[in-house]
Amino acid sequence: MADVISAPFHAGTTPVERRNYLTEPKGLWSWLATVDHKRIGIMYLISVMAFFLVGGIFALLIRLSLFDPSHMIFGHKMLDAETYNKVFTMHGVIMVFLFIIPSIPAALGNFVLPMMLGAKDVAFPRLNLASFYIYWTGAALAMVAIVTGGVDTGWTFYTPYSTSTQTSVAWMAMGIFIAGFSSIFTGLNFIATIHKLRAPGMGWFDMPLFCWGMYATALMQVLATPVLAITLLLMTIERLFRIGIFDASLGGDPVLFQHFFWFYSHPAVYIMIVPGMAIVSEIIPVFSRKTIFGYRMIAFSSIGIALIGFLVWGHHMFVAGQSQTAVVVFSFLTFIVAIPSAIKVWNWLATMYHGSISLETPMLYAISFILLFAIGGLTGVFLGALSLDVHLTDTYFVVAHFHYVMMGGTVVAFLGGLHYWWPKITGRMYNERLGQIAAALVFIGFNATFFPQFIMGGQGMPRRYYNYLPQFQPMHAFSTVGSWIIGAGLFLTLGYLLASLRKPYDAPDNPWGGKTMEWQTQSPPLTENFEVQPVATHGPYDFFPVGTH
Amino acid sequence: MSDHTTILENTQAAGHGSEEAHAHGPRNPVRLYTLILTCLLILTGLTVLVAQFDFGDWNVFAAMIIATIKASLVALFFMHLLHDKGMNAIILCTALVFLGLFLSFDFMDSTTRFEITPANGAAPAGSDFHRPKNLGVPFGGAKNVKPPAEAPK
Amino acid sequence: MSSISTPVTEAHEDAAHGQHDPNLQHHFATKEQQFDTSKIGIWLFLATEILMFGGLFVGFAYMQSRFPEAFFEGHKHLLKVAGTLNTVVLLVSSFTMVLAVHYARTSKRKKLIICLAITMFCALIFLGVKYIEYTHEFSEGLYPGRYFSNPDDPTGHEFIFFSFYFMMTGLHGIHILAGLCVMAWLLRRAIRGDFSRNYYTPVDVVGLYWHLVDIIWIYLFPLLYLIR
Repeated sequence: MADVISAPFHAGTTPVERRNYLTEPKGLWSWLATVDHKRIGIMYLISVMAFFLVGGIFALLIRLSLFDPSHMIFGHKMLDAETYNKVFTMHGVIMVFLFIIPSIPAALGNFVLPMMLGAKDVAFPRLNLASFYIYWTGAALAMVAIVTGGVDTGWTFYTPYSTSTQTSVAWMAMGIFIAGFSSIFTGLNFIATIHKLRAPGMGWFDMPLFCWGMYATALMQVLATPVLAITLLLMTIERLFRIGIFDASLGGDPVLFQHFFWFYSHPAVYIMIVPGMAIVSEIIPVFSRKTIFGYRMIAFSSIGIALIGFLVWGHHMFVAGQSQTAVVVFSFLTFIVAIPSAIKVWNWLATMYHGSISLETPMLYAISFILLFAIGGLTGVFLGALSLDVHLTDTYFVVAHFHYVMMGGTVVAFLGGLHYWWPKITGRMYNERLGQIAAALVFIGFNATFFPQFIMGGQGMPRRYYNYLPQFQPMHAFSTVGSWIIGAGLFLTLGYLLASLRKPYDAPDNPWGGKTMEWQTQSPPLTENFEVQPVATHGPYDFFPVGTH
Repeated sequence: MSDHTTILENTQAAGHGSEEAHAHGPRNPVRLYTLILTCLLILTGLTVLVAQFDFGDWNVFAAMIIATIKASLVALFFMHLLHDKGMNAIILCTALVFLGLFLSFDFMDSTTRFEITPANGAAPAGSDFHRPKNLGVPFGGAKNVKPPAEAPK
Repeated sequence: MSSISTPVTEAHEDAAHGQHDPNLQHHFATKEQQFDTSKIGIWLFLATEILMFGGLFVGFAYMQSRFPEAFFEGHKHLLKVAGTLNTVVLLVSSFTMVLAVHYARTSKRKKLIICLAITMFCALIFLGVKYIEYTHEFSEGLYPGRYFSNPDDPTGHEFIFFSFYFMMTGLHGIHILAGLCVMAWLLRRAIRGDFSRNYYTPVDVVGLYWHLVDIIWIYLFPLLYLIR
């Protein structure tokens, strides 16, 4: 079968500087005004990595301040209480809105999705570019908020504190409001692309599972983010005008704010994890040399998570003042939403079973994902049980839970996808040995940082607290050291990835032997992706089982 | 190669290079739209008329039903949903369903809470609310406001 | 599985054959595919507008259920005639807008221009009536939130009603204004002769947006002006 559609790379020949999307057109303006989804993906990639760095530095500052109840480490006094509140808020806001939510969809998804579908671009390329600039406009306003004094409400902006504190809440709210539209337009673009731009011969159930994940994510982006927009608008207007919707002293209801906020923010966490699962669904079959087990189950479970994920938001508000009826309903639905996620884990494991597994860096991250997401997801179910949540809510148990799913899940999957598609995006191979070392450092450091936090939370250590009882100091200190190990792993990754860019193009067109369409063209790709419109002639995971063919 | 030329010609021939992929649509659009506008104007009059009467708890319901009929007419005919491909209607209905979920869950919560009545016999919180005074008045204040003749009840 | 292979270099050959359609973007295979995709795109955008405005409606319903008397007293201050007039004006503008789409699709340029112009005129009337309403309300001290200063407020919570009144009609008005600006762009292109039965997507898409703005008012009007 004619997999290779463009000029093949022959091993043994010297690397040739082939015409590709990086080399032409040339010039800064050709990048800033590009409508090429690959270039837009690169610009997003650089942006989200920059915000990951900023958010990560804030995280390191938090952990340094919590090393000891005296807030001293190595003889230095770290953050004071007011600044601490602002730093953990900024860490949350930047990581959630400026890093994680755009990371996989806007950076990797933009690059890979059209190619996987055999398309030349997304449905609305100019809207894609607009999304990028809208993202940066929102980010700019968020930075104004940071330099004008920061925000100390926590990333959840609960009223009435957020409507009365003197910090730069309005700037931050408007920044996120605008950045939200970037997310909406990306989702809109992906839905239209997946509906209308699949290659000839590629039905819904012939496309890669990454596309199903992107579709489910896009559904959530389109349906949930507008409610965030109106929430932030209402909160800002409440600040400025005291309209009385969320402020009990004026007759309003603070729990209503939480309903508004979490109606978006719960699907938001699925917007964060589903793309990560989508990447894992791509990596596992390739590095097991085996077709995915249960394609339809994984596809439907992505949609299932997206839909049921809209019904569980009240589980963030079990002790906030909802009615008994509401908490019981939300708790029940929370147990249900765990099911589609579990289905995926079983399918990945079944794919690996009797596969021919090779443990390159992408696969190390994918396996890490399965382990860490399992822990994170299961602890979410603990929190969904009302009787447990009364004790565990607003403790470090919750902090550990969401870091296990967001960092141990999404960030790990993002790194896996970044390594998996690095040869395609850049035309270079990264240093595999360093990749494996960094993956190990990230895995070990992550568990060292966050596993003690489950224990602390179970023992009652509250979240967001600046001061804590001396009995928690050993675990806090352990957690801080763990954060250094993560930092080491991530900086090592940054180092060898950047170093790889200084080499000439040395990556084969298809280093991993993948069967999806992005691998059937040159690395890096042409601006128009394919020389000839590809036709889907085989499935995305048509590996032959061990021992046959 | 002449293959792609033929394909392009075929595509153009099939659709006459036009964007109307299918011939069906309203037979006499102008007449149909005029008819729909007339219905909408009549329904508007009906809305105002119905608002004159008090149906108690059904007031909002009655108004919403008429509004929904009007909105449906606009959606089906002015927005071509009746003649379009089904995907567009699915998108609209999905948005409405999720909005409905948001509304219904919020009300499920608020209607099943209970008033906390303090044990010492004081009134429930908020029942003796007095709006804070002196919050500020822009633009020099209201011009047409007469001070109340007697204290409000 | 089909065996169509359409070389990406086709565009260059089309130019040579004189068949290159400037209105067909390079990543679409056919005009129909591009048109259908644009329709899906605008409907998705309308879905986000429904959810955003819907949030305001949910907030309104929630607060109205807490303070029904305040909302009832508050709405008495509104000018029902103005509201009814605006409803009629928007319905007529929806009618002229859908006619504009029809004339664009049937290549009737002059009628398209007239209908677009009338739609824009209706939008201006709507904004004018709202201006009159707002100045009337401000003159009576009916401001949102903290600035509410009308003494005729037996419930003490009327400021909440007016907060929602101004937020909802204000956001709606912003959408009318935005629609007006986009229609101005559309009118300019129509005068230039850009639209015909071969390409009328922008008119269709803007029309859909305008109809949604109308539908939102269809719900706003009874809720704000006519509640009992």
